[in-house]
Amino acid sequence: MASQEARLANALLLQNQENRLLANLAAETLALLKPALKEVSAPQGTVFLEPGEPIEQVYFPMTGMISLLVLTKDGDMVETSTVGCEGAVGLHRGWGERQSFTRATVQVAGRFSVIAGKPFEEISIASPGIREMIALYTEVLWAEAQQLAACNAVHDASARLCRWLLQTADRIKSDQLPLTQEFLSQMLGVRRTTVTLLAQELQKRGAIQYGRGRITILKRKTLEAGACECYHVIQQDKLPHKLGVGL
Amino acid sequence: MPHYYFCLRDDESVADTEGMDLPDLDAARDHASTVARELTFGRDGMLDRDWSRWTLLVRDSDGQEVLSLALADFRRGNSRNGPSPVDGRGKKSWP
Repeated sequence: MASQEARLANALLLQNQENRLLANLAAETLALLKPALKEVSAPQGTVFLEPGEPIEQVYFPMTGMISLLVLTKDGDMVETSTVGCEGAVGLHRGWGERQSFTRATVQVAGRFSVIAGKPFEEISIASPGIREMIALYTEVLWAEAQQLAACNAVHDASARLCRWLLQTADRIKSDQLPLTQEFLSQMLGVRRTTVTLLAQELQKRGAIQYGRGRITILKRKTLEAGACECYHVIQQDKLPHKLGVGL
Repeated sequence: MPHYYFCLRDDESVADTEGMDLPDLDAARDHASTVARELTFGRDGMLDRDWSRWTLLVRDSDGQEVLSLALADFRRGNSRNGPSPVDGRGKKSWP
């Protein structure tokens, strides 16, 4: 009877899990993590990880989005990846003590399931399911990074802007993106004027509407037509299948 | 610091209504050149526009046109007509 109750409780735990990596775990595996997971809300701009610094905590977004940024010596900051409810940040801490390679900043405010590094490592050692999750997610992120490296080399700012808007809307599950153009220009590594002119053009075509600090997607199809194919390649519900990864 | 506005123009126009502070006209020219390069970089061309006739205009805070750059001058060996090694096709169509 008790074990049946436990199974029910575990099933409920999975059902309510908003982060896809956690929801994808076997119920018993998630139950191992659950006591150590705490929920935090973080506003835009919160820095979770800094390059070269130890990964103290692992973050699973439930809502909102984290941006991974590479900082150059000149002080430029370029986004190399974004992580929403489909992923996690700092996951490799499960394999032992690690330093972060990128800065991880909350780009869209949200709620995050957070676990401290040490307990996560201990649970990972004991749980093949969690080690598998880390490995599979690494494969997906690695594939995405390769696609985006190609994208940055050959696709123009407009195609990347359209791709970015769609990708972000998917990750936060909303067509209202609380982002400034200043911020977008940093993310895409182009001048703010360039983003403004492109956003004006998109607005004229009825694809988006923008105001101070907010971009609303009105016509996804127009953005999809303007985006490079990278959007479809890295779509969170498709990329794992392309790799044969069950995530 | 002087304030400059940037605007793309052909038979219609797209303008940056916020503009930006820049130290002088040289800085405005540098900025405009970078923007022109960013807009014309890449295989697909901005939103499938043909930029060859477009100009990037720079105005000062009085609305006086102080600079005009032809976007066609900024398109550098992007092999726009060749197949893309990534998507294997030519220009995209805009609906």
